[in-house]
Amino acid sequence: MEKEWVHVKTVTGNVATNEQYLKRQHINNEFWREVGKGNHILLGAPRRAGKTSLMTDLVENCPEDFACIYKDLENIPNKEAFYKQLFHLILQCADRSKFQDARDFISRCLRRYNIKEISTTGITIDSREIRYETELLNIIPEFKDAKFHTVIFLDEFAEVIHKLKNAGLKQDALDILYTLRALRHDENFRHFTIVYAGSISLETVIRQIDRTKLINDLRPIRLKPLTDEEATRLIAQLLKVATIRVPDEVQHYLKEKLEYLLPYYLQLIIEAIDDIAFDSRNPMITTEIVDRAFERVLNEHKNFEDWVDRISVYQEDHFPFINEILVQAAHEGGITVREIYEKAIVHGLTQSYMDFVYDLIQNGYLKEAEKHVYIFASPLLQQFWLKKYPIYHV
Amino acid sequence: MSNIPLFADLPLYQNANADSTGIKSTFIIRKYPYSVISQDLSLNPKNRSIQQYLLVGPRGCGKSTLLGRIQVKIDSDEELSRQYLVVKPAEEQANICRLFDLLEEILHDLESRGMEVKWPGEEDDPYEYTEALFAAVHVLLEKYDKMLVLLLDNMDRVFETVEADLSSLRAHLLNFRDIKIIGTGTRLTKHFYSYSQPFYCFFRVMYLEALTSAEAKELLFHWGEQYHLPAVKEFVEKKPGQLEMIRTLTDGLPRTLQLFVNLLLANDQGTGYDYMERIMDAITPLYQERLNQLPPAQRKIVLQMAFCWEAVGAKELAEVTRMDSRVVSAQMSQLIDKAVVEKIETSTKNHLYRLTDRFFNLWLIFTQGSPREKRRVKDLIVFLENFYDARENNDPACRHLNAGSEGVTLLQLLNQEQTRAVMDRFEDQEGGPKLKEEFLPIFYATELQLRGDTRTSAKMPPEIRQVVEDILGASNNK
Repeated sequence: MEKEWVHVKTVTGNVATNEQYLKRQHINNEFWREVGKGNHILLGAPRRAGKTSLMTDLVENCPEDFACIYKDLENIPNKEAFYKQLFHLILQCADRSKFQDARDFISRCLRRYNIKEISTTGITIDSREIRYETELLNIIPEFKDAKFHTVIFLDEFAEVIHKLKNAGLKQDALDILYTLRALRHDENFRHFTIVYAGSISLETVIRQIDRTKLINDLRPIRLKPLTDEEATRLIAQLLKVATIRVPDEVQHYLKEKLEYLLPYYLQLIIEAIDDIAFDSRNPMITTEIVDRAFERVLNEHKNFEDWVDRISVYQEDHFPFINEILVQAAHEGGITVREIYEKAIVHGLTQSYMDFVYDLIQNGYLKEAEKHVYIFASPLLQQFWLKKYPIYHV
Repeated sequence: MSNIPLFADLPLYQNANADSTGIKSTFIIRKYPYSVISQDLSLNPKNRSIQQYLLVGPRGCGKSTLLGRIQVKIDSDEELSRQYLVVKPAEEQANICRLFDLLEEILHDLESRGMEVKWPGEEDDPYEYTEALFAAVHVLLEKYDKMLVLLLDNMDRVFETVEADLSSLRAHLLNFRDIKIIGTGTRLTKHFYSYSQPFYCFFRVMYLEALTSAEAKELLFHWGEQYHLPAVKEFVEKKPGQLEMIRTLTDGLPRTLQLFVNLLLANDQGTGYDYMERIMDAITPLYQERLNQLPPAQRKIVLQMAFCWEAVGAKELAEVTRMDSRVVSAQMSQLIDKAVVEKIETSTKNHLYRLTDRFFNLWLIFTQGSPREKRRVKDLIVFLENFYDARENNDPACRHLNAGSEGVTLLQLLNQEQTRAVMDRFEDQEGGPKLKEEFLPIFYATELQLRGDTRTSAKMPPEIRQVVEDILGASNNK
């Protein structure tokens, strides 16, 4: 009887935990160090960089004297819902905590607010109107002398503010930001930390409502692509019980080819490798199969559409200029600063063209190969651009 | 369906509704996605990572059958049915307008199985009501200690309908991790890949692609054996070229192969062209409805685009439709949104366009085209059939490719690396255009070999890409 093919243990698009999650201890260490200093954290990274997985790991493996809870907030429609959610989170966090202080706190809250039930789905309160914003300011100081530290992870916080602004609720957005800033600066709240996470830049959103000072006290932590060593560890984890065998030199080839080592894209390639090997029922992976896997992932090019989307949406006015740079870099294998400048003359951007180049470097599109020569940061992305824009006129 | 008698055991539609034994015994293809998903269900305890899936493929490619097979897998496995509750809403979800409609349907389904549902009270605010229904789902799952597997056919359409509520859905999937969605769609809509959408790259997308030659043969052999149909087995063995031609031009869809088997069983003998004509005839009600649903201006554009066959620019399209180019552009945007048309981007503003469903394109030529347009298709059919028969017979020079025809000469020249000489013939003002029509795949193979990826090759109809690669492969091997 044919032996069952064991597939690779990837997880794409969703929270990775246990053997599917690559722990990067130095990020966890940095996080707890900053929280320990009393900082509130701004956790930023593009989508699919692994923020939610990191937060889940931080919550599930927090140090002894911490109580943590995570919540994705992206469906919050107004400020009342936000305060209600935060209020519920604090109670849920305390309710599942092992500390006596927390148990006492919950007992007081049950009586004070006529709470019928605290469960994973929320809190059931017996017919009583609660002004959540006010009550938040009342309950958090009760932790002041607690022997533990509460950390609330608010995922997609930047999206909430962005959506409120776009829905004509700018004042709601400002109220939330002012309230949270006030909490952060009150001595009574020093045992309480909020982590603000989001896949769009909170700084950009706040700039749009012209209140940058409202978040300038947050401590940013950014998720970077994997290092070579981390990528090796992730591959080993994913392949641990899988049927396919990827020799070291082939793994090396794969990493070199991908270059920009985001866990998401690494896993897409490994899934494609598994698929190709499954078809032939041959578990031994070669560089030729890696090439075919890259080709397959590229052909399903919607995987990379967001790289175009991000420029066309957030740099709408200058998309033609930016895209000309990228198309030339893709077709010619690079572009010089002189060639960029010539394009800038045509587009009337001679005063600011290097800002765009720096943005492209910052956001992982290009890198400087040698002085004033720019190439794609990832050969995979370059191949995508070639497929997306096959016709090129000098 | 038309005048073709259908073999009762090979139902054409709603195959997923067959009984569990039927589904198990007829499940031959789509092994990879099935294997991945069933292993994921078996190995991943519910408190671990939860992978969500989207199965993408055209109508008739086996998506619903695959969902049905997954349902049977869970229902018939003691351990899996202990861990999971499967809900599979009706394939045509006409009553779903908001997310709460879907949640109500899920709760009704669970309640009908004797589970206790804590229905929320009346709530005017859609957000609050959706949240309350979600809470009811989570409470129920917690109470019965199960995870919900939602098998959602036509998820692309459902997401379009409940677009305003998608953030809520994502938030609950992430916050509670007790729902696994395995959905299907005919296309990857913006909801799944656009950076600004909640479900950006959230699902593992698995494409159900055209069946390969080997898969098509395996499927036909299986049907032949299972239903004791010797004619099917005989056809596969004796007419490989015809089978390959049919597979190529009908997008390699299992459903079309089913149609074809029914033709065989009706004792219809004929040429490859005859078979194709009858398959087109059988598929007419479906495609006619699709065509009729389009407003007149879009119908005209679609027809002309089909007749062009290759991808065309907006300017060229405005000429052949005799419509104002701005009107054409506006209509094209709508057709792209409906996924009837796809855009091939170039680095200039002059993008190319073609019909997304290639089998639909062929059907339009067959049923609505002029004699000249139909002749082009006939030429291609004859070419494909002969080319693949020759390949099957290990005849790389394709000597019996219309013996004595120009095609043999052209292929021989290509094999001898006389690419320029071949192109000269295609570019000849007098005979060139007719030659190109007659041997379109050879023209593209020549173009690719001579000039690489050009605008001309970007125009190539995708259905002939494989044969073009096969021609180039044979030429390079030589």
